[in-house]
Amino acid sequence: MASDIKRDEKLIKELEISRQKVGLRRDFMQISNTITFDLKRNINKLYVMLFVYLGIFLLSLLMNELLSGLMGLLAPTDSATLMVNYVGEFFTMALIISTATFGGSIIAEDFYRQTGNLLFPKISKTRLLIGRLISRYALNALCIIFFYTLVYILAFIKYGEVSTTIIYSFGWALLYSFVLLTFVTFLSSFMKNTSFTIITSILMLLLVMGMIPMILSFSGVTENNEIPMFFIFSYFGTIISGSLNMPDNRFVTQLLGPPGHEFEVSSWITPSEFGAALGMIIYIVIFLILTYILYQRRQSKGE
Amino acid sequence: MIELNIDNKDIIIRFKNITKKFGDFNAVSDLNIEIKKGEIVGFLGPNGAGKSTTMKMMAYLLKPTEGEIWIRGNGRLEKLSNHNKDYLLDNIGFLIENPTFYGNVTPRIILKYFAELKGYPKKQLNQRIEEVVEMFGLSKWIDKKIKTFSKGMRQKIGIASAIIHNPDIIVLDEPQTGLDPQARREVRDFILQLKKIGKTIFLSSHLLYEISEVADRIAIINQGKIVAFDTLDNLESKAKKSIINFELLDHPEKNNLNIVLDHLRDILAPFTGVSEKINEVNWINYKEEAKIFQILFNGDPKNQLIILKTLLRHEYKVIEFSVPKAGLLEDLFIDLVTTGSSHPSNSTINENQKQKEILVEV
Repeated sequence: MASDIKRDEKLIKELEISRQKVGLRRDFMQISNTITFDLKRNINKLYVMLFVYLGIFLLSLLMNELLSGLMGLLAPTDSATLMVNYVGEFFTMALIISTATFGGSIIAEDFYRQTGNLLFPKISKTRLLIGRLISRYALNALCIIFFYTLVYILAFIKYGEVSTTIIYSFGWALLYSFVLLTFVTFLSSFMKNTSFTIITSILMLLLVMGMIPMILSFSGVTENNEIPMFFIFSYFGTIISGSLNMPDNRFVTQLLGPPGHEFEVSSWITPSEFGAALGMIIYIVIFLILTYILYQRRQSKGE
Repeated sequence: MIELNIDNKDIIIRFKNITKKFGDFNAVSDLNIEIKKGEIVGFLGPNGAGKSTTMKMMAYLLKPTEGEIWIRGNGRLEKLSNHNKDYLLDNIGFLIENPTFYGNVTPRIILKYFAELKGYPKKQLNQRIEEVVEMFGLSKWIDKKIKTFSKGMRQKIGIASAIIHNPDIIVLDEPQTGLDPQARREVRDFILQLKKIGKTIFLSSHLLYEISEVADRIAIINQGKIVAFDTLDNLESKAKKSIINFELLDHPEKNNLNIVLDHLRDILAPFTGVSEKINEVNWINYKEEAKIFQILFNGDPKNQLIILKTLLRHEYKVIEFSVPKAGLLEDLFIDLVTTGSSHPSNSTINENQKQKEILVEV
């Protein structure tokens, strides 16, 4: 009995001490707890996404190795050129799918399913958002690391060495995935539910963003696309492959159409490194500010 | 305006002249409530009365347009502000209506997360989680995914999440909504159990029975204003009328029901304690579905006893005779919320309400 009372007194004392840890210390603690909890909660999504990335890698392998061989195309002369084939459109598509999957539920889920009723006021929206952004980004980064490891191993097997430009490409992939995550989080801050956010994100990033330059070009607003497409943030994704073997001329013009009726189509291959870094940081800041404002204003039924 | 008595050690929460406006709309107007340590205060009002807005202000999810909320922390009442909200709200456990859980996690994981968020000591955490889960009889389910739980079990986990960090104050917003009778009873028992171990409970609901079963004092809110705030007994006496339910061994047949009712009217009318206008209202009736008779009377236990004796003297075989608590307050509650009138201070009933009680005669 006496030991029970002693234990209770000790517990109360510890509780009092622990509760004194407020302010910045509590902020960091809550963010850290949210990261841990969110990682546990989304671990199954990670396994699924790793399979998606593996599938994308195998598909790229099939197309680059088998089909190229069948069609008699020349093999890449160095590891950097080889890697360009693997971190191109398929990889960007996988990046979009995984980011939408991890990020789609960041905010919308708590309002749609009313899980927010349990979270608030145990934690503030700001701390929750920061914690979740970090954890979802970490999960996405794990997928990217996994994919780059596969590409690295392949390049090493084929060439015995791997170009150091893979590090730049990896860095750009991480930065670009964060831009995508902030965009998806922005959509999640006002969309009704997670599924709708994921689908909308994928459609916008894969289709709408790709169509805008064409529409502008055909409408004559930006004749021959002479202006770099900084206004479309998906354009910055091209630096992931571009940085592996940065072309001398980032702007190309092609002749398309039947003989005698050819027309010129111009396009930008990749942004410059400075332009990409600046542009992506600007987009990150814009999306985060918009997300924060919308999230703070959003109210759930029970909140 | 109420006088602020900082020295009153019993007060654990104080809402002082709280007003919340959304544009021109007054969601809460000049609300004053003091909650004492260890009591259960029911916060009763129809949907849209301002209950949730008040709860949100207490949880610092909304800031009052005017007024202050004081919460006891570290032995003294402190005004809730951005500066001290973490510390003060650590002492409160909230359960907001209809909590939904992430289905793919277990009670252990989610309770650990919530306890950590509120700064519960890490060393004691696992033991605390197991104790709380055991209190709710869910020890076998502690490592099972929540998506496999029934609604009642989820509600228990909801309450567990509100108390996991061992707060002194527990705020429960409609905790029995959507539960079956058995789960409702369990939740009610937990609330009483929490009171026994010294917790202060602020319980909001639009259901009278949910509140009247457990609350020591009841605050009735309507259109953002407190229209009554008093103990259950005092509110009952202010209602001045109550209902007796009784059941007979032999249920009356349809063809002789009117004869039985007429006879009961004759023998019981003098003992109901209601006025001469009694003949103008239907003060006795028979509920066919429940097979019970209901009698309106003045709520005085003496009259209650005389009515029972009269029934027995006339050889009615009474097998059940009760005065349901919720029934006592129901009319008062409806009167208060339908008029939407305000009351200038706690523990008072508006004069207009008193005038409405034309049947009552004390």
